[in-house]
Amino acid sequence: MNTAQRIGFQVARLALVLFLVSILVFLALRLTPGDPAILLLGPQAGRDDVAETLAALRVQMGLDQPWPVQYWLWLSDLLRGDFGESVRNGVPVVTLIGAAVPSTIWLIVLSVLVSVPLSIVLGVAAAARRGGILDRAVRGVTTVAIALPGVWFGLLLIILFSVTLRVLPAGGYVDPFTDFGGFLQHMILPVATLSVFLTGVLTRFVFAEATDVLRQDYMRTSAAMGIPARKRLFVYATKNAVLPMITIVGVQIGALVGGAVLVEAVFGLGGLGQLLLSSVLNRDYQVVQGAVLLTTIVVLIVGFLADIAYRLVDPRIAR
Amino acid sequence: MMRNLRALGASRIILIAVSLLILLIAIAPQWFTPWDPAAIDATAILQPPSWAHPLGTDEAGADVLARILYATRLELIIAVGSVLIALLLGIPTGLLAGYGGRVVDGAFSSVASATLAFPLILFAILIVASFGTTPITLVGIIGFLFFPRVFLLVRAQTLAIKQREFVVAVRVTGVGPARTLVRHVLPNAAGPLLTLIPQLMAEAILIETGLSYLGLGVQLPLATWGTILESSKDFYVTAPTYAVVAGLTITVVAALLMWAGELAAESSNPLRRRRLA
Repeated sequence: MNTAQRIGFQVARLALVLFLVSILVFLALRLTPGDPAILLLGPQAGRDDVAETLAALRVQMGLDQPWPVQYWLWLSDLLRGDFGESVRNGVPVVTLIGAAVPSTIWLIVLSVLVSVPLSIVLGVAAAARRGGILDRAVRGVTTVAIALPGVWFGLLLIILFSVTLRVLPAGGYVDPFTDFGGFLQHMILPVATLSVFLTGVLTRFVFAEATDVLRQDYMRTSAAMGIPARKRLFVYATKNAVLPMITIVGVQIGALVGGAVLVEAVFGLGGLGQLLLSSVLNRDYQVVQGAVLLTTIVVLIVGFLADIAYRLVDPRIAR
Repeated sequence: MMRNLRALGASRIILIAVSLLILLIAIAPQWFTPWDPAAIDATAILQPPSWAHPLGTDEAGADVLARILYATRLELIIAVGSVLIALLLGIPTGLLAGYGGRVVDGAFSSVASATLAFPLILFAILIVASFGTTPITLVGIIGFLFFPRVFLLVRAQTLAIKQREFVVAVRVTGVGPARTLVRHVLPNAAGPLLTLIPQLMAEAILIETGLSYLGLGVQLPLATWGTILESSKDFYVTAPTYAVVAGLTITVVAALLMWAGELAAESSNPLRRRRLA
């Protein structure tokens, strides 16, 4: 298979997976106990005089149709970009998500920018001195970093830096295009929280890859040729150890979004996490489902692009 | 006996001892504390640590240590239960996908990658918000979300092992596919699974914590470390011990589980094996 065919295959697979995901979310939607029409009407639904309204609403929402037809109606709404409206305030779900997304994306992007270089240095350095103090320290610290519940670590940082030392804000979000300094100040703690987890995951990965690479023949040959250790390690070895990281960031993007949602809810950044949190508390399922579905689609597409990028960057796989 | 212990290495002995202790706490928390975790005492709310209450009391005057100890059982049930579900779903499908033809493989692999693609916590929020949080929904949803990880591992191992000469030899002697898979292929996939299992248990605990923080934890009178963490979040300044201890427990137990996974990887991988001969 050449590259074009392979990409075509991947696109077909992405479409299939998106289809399966849509069925999963639809089922979650329909298996939810309670009639969506009753939920939409709210407390009035129990009264006798609204029984007709309720029946009309059911027809209007397509709830009287068999499931496959309902699925089709739901899917065609989605494809038109209609993710429904909030039961609480009637605002379209897409608008709510659009307003929430920037802070979540900033949180993820900044954390990736911090974690990727950090984990490359830590992972390669630890792999170069297997069994040494640095190796043990890095492995111990990454284990704890992954085991640390993000929500708790975030709270601890708030207590230390915002309540006790009073040097950083405890939460809130400032738009970077209106006040960049304020934006950075508000992002330091959330980014630190998410980066601890992400650096832990990525460092372990770089470490494993670098350990493999250092065993390869070309590393021994380059040593025999008298090329300085520093150059061998941080140019020759790192190049090959870091390439697969594109895939890992692609695969981990789901975990990353999940982590970001939690961290961002702790710091009240007004992003997806807070939207989900308030929608869950308000039983606003339409928003919950829309947000989950949209995020999943984005995550799938990012993973797909990461896979393509990896194939283009690494000639060994492209062939 | 002593020689066997020495061959095991200090780290493994510590790990086994701690695991047994945690198991004992889960089985019989009343042996470790005289307090009832649900006992309310309005005269003793948010007290600092004392001889009577080693970790102080919470906002209802209950002993914090007792709450943590009594929550161990449910936390373990959630961690172990969800991994069991993942194994039940992942092992048979993984074996079939690795051993069967391309069609079977394609079908199972697509479902697995669809599940893997879901941002775990978001899907858990969706399900738990819709169906309510009971230990059963938690175990079911986390187990289902973990299934692709088990599936991918078993599938890869099966693909690698089925080419080996001994498997071919077994099949030539007329042993059926089911028996070949269960008796000869599966045992060879056990090593990597032993590494994955404790790590998944750690993740289950962390996911449960995240959901609890969002208010989607199990409902009272049930309690987990996650719900204790959530209930203590307003008391970081007034009762720091209470606020810190749940998070610390989760971190330590999750780190121990990750560590156990690493030790399992070391003993099952001959390249990394050092002490265990």
